[in-house]
Amino acid sequence: MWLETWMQTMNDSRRSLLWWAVGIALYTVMLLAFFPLLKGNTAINDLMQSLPESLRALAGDNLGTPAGYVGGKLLSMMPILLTIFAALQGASLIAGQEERGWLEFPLAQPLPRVALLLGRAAALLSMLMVLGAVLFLSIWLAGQVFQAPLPAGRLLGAVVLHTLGAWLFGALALAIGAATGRSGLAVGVGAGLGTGLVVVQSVASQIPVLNDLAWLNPWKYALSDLPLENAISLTPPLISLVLGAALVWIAAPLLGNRDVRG
Amino acid sequence: MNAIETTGLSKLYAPGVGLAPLNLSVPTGEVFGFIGPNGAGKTTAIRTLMGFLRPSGGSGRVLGHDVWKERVEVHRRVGYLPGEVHLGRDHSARELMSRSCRLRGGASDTYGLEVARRLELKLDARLGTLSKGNRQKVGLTLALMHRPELLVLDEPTDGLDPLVQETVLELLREAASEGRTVFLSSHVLSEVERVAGRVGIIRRGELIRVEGVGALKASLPQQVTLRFARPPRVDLAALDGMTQGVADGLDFRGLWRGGPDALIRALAGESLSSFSLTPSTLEDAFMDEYRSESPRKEEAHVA
Repeated sequence: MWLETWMQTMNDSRRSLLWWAVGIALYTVMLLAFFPLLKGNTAINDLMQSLPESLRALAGDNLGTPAGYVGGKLLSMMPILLTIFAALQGASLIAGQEERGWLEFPLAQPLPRVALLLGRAAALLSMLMVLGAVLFLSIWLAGQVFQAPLPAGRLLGAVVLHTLGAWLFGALALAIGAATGRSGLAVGVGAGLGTGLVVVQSVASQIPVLNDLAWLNPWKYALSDLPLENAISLTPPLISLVLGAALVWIAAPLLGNRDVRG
Repeated sequence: MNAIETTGLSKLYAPGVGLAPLNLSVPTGEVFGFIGPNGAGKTTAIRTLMGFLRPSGGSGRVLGHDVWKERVEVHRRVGYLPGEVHLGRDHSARELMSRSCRLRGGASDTYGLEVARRLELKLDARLGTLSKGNRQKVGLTLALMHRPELLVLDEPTDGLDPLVQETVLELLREAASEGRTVFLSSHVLSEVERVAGRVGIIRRGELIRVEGVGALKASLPQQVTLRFARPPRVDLAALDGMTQGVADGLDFRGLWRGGPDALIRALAGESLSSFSLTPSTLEDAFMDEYRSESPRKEEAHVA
């Protein structure tokens, strides 16, 4: 049952997913196309070195190397973009559709509400994995073309951290939407928390109390730990994966026990 | 076994708002009409029976299954048409039919295609391009296509042109003749009258009357309209059984209850130039039920 729901949801989302994938690929290729101009440009590096450390942390540390450029200029935007995608999708898959009256058709079939939620959660995760794959492939391929080669393993690790970080907030939006039927609330909390934590992480190194708590922030592992330069630990992305699944699991009985609007 | 059996089933959004405790039995094979004006609680009752709304009290069973706890079993055996058909704009009717079949373990769409053909539904047009009436046809096809044991239809002919309405009523009569149960709601009483065996009248969330269509109509006053050829000697308005009698010169109008014998005898010595005794439609019955109500309470109720 949930598998059928998964297939129907993927089918319904394919157009929106396609445009996001095109957008991410274009963004990646355009940014990397400028890399040859920056590579070995000592003036820019000198300028960067003259900046205070806090500004350098925001702008990216080492724009002259592929890892520094991709990490600082390109991947630093991804938590925001992917979180927004995940929260919008997560909120619309149950709550948004319910507000349009679209849940009555699947739910008038012999389809348990839990199976509907499960199928749609699996679809959300699959969509993020598709975007992650597009991100990985476009960075890696464009890197080969524009003289910014990156080791595939490191790049894969970084993309996994970004994708599963976004899953956590998408699953949060899905869970809130499923539990309450209110998509505005779901997008607001999911996207707000996800992007807010990106901002928190960008200033964490300057604020001791945030720095001490940074291990709680999924974006620390994707942004501050420089996954393109250091090998990642699999624990943080696994925790994001499980935590997101747990949120959906908590929402399931709440969806099962409430009124569904027509 | 009754197709629908409720005991004090209620869905109250706030005290006095929603569906008051409902006691209703609809035996298998019956066509039951659920009538009331918009906002009377028909949709709330139907959505509670379908397990979309959590009952706030009492219990209900559809084909032997609890409407809330066993709603998946209910959905397996019931075809449902919502009061407002909301379906994704990018889908075609054909796509939705095949989805419904797959969610029912690979059910056949043969009958669905026949229903669609009889309703003259375009199967491959995107729903976003269809008119309200055509979307209604999609909803009807989806509800009827699996030949369910029970059809629960919220305003099935809403938005359809008269020819298609006739086709729909015909489909419902066929379903009934195959022993399937039909529960339909409507505010268009003349259509219920044409298919239903019994009707329930719902007013402000409360089922106030359940009766056979024939008995209900028999209990209703008949309209008397006549014209005397000469000034009458008899005072018709004073007869037992006559209400709202109005004499206007040689013309007389009034409402007559009971058999016509007494009326005919009273007129035996008179000379008439015209006479008619018209049975009330359900519409009249309905207006009657609605008039017997204080206007002040009207404000308090929604849903």
